[in-house]
Amino acid sequence: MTTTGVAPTATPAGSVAALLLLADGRFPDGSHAHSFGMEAAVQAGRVRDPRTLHDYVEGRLWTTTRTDAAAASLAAEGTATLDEIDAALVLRMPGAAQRAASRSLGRSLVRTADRLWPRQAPRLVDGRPPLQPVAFGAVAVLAGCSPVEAALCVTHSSAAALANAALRLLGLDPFSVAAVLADLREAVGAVAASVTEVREPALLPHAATPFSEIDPELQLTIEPRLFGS
Amino acid sequence: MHGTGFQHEHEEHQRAPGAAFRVGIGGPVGTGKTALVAALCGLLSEDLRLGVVTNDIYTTEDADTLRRRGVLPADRIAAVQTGCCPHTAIRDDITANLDAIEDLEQRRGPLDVVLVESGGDNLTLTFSSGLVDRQLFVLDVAGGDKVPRKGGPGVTRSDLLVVNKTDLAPLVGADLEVMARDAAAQRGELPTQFLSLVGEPGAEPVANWIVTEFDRWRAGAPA
Repeated sequence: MTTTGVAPTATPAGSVAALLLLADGRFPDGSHAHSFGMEAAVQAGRVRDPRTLHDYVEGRLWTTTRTDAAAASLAAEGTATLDEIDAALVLRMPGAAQRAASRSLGRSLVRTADRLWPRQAPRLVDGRPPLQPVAFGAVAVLAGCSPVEAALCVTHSSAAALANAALRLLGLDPFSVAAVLADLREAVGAVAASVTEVREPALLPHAATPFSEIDPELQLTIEPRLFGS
Repeated sequence: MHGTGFQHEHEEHQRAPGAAFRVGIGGPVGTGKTALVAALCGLLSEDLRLGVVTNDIYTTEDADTLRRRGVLPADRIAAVQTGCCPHTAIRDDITANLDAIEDLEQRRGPLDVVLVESGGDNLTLTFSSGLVDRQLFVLDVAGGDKVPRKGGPGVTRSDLLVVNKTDLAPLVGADLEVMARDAAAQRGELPTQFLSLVGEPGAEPVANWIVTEFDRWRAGAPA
């Protein structure tokens, strides 16, 4: 069952406007309360200043974020079913905590989509919410984005969320954090552009890092923890 | 009204049938919100099916304390992480709180009232109407008797302003009459209650207010 939303006939400006809406950190999708592994990384001392933040985010962009961006782009394209993409992404998320966080964020996004586009929010065949990147790709279409715009939103949001979590946890200078994100603009764009050639779920990228799988598990042992994941 | 593209209506959002009445409890750090929540649970949980969502930093220790005090079963209490942004979680992006309320209702069946306690913050903190049906704002006398005069949306617009720890007033030189007068000037017809959780009547006035507001809400009265 594909979810081709009733996408508006988008003018170029209209589709960029849709992208900006979804990429805006203020868009209420529940993600502000998640650190996507950053809280565990900070606690372990792996991220402690702008330089280590830069390296960490760059590493994530080319591994887990790239996989997520590809899943979102595929979901936005609409040729594979959401279930097929979701299943392929599950294979690339061996950590239970990692999957649970993504499923929870997918659920939040589905609620938001239900309010903005009633009766069109993406769901799997069994009614469960898709994993967050898959849900996001479908939602991006509802908003009026193209697949590459969906991918770009994922890469931008991933970098921004990781950096913002580090800012709050470490009290980093916000100008330094903004400089890190500015430095990573090219990577954000390149990762998004690199996934447009992924045309089927079986070909989703699978590069990962050990910590991207370990950190969500570690996160659950931090007490008290400040972020949902 | 709308241009090309989108077919949609701006539907009035309806709460699911059987959904609980939600009361937000906000206010600065240390004013006694958690103690008030515990006291309210003790007073209300016999007659009402209660749930609590706390945005405060909540540890296993806190859960154990509540369980030991027996005010509410531990599985009726949910903790929400706010990512160091207490305002956002109850005002700008209420998703995590909505998830928690949904989970509580699914786990324990329909509830009558859910109390949502914010993470303690400052005087600008306010709950979204998308999250709660009524909100009360808790100040305490030890915070200084000039606080009501400072205003802020919590003081001026909350459905109930609670001034807590009146038993401390003599010790901190707080003039309760000044506070009452300033609160009335800020709030007009909106109610203010002065409270002490030490001795009687404790949190009963707040519990009674919640029950009254719950009845009004069920009858469809406007906020």
